[in-house]
Amino acid sequence: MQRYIVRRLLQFIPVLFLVSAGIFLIMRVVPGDVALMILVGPDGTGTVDPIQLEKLRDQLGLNDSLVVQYWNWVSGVFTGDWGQSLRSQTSVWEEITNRFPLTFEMVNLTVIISISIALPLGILMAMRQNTPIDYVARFISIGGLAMPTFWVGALMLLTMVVFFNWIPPLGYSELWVSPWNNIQQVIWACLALGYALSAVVSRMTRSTLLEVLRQDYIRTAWAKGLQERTVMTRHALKNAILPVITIVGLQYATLMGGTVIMERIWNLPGLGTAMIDSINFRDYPMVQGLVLLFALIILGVNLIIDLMYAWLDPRIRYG
Amino acid sequence: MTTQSKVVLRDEQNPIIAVLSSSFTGSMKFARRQPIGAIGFVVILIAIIVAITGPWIKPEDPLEIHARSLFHKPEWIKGFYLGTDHLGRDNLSRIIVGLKPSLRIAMFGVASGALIGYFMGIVSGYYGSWVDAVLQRIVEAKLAFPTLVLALALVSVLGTSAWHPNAWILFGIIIAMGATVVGLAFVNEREAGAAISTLVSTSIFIGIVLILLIGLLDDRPFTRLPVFTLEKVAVPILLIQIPGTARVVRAVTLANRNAEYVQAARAIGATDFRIMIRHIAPQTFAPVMILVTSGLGSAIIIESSLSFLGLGIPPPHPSLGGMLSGQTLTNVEKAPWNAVFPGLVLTMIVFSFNLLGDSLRDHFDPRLRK
Repeated sequence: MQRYIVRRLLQFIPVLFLVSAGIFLIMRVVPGDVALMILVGPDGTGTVDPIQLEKLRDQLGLNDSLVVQYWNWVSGVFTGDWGQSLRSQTSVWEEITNRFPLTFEMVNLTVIISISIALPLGILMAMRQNTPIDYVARFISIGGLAMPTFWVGALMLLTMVVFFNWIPPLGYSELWVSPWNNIQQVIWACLALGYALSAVVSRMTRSTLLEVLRQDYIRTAWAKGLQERTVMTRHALKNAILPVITIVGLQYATLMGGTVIMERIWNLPGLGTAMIDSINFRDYPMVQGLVLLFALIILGVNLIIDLMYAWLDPRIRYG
Repeated sequence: MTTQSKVVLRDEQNPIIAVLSSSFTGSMKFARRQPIGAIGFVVILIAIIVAITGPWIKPEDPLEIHARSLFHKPEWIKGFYLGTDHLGRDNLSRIIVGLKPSLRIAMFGVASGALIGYFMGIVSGYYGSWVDAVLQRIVEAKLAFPTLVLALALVSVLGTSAWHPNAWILFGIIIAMGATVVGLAFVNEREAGAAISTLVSTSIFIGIVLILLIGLLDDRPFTRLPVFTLEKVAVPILLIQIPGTARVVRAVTLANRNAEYVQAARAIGATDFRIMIRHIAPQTFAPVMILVTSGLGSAIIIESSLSFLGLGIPPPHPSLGGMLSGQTLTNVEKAPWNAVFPGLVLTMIVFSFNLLGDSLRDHFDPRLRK
């Protein structure tokens, strides 16, 4: 088990190298000079002095070669210094810790919502394959894939406002400061994202369940005269759940991207908003830090899921 | 998913006609077994036809500003069938015209990405060793990279403007790759000469189809071939498609690499290239077809998300995602039609792609059959 974890952690290294080098290179070839943008200021009124510009570029390390810049950044990350945000002049790490709780809350809420939609739907589809129920449920689940999340979110808000005269509380409030307000602000984004995610999960549930239901031990269970409920939950679902969990892990990348767009729409100050703003501002350290963080989270979640396998399925042993 | 696509060739039959007729009977069978998937296919076909005929069937100029009828309600008697937006531009015309870039970007991006991924997957699955190791790391890196963030970053590098590449250069590569795969896999090789002539005619056929499609989906169809319009957003979509395809093809290749029929082929002295293309490639057609179909759906979503964030198709040119952003959202109570209709069309198209992909999966996967 320990050896397996160590091996997996070692596999992280090339992946993280590719991700970090990738985003590093992309951000360096982006047209637009951040030093110029800082000097001009957000409203574009500042004056630019070439000497000052050159000094600032030197100060930000933009005149070093790419390899040196990359090395400086990576060695900084290892020693806990993720660099300074060029936009807000605060440290990247501080910015991340400030914004992380909201995104963390959103992602978890989304996963919970999506699983509680997807599992019943998937089981229903598998139990009643090729019946009208299956078709309707498939329509609902594919709808989640087909509708852009930003559109679903907007329509939800529209319905609430037009038909129920309900307006979400203005101004973001944190979960532990005012939980009720916070939930009201976050829930719509999470519902829209969760519905989209549930499409993938419920389809996976359906197809793995269908495979499992064809197996001999299920026939045995039926032959013993067990009730449908028992067969499904105690026998079939237990074996069908593994690929479903895997797919949830693999969807984390999509989910992280989804929070980017949802936070933008609902004006939520999470990591996603920071990502878009930083990309627009060419705030290299911030974008790099965020991408690295996203990659770490995604890799970590997938590792945890793989480790959960051994616990969920006693047949699996990691050596 | 190991159903082999069967193409029965009679000796003197033209291979193109054989492929066409067998794909026709194949699709008839598919339509009978998966009526929902067939409906999805028809909707997609309608969308493509509307996109192509857009310039002739649009009721108004999509860019024309009707200053007197801002936020005009949808009216069925005369004009503005789907209402107007904040600048008084006709929604229906904008949707019709906006379909074209969406479909163009999705089709080009997914098709070329899938072809590249296909080659990477089959080579890495067959040879293993360091090629495989490198590919696996790239795929993992992509999986750890939020798709939309990657697209956002790439678009900010490339810019959002349209691009006017020379069709022959780009498509020469794609046509050559596609033709090699399809041609060699379908060839009924009795003798080398016949094989080469089949390969040549198949590649010409694929080339004509591709050029036709790209030409038809161009902003000004056929007026300036071989140069065509392509938005730069197609590049991230292309890159996103590669790893998934490569992984699936690799898995199928791995499963078949040491199968008995491959060993038999090796025993009679078939080259590696021949085994890959002729024996293993046909096994991967079904999963790749499914992947490409649903990939088209998600490509349209990604493109519209980028346009929604203002990084896709630059305004004032209409795009389904762009129509849903900005003023539409802030005025959603006043003019809900602006938010509803473009989204509905978008959903219908993506829905159809997913429906088709799902039905193809059910159709090709013998384990899911009852």
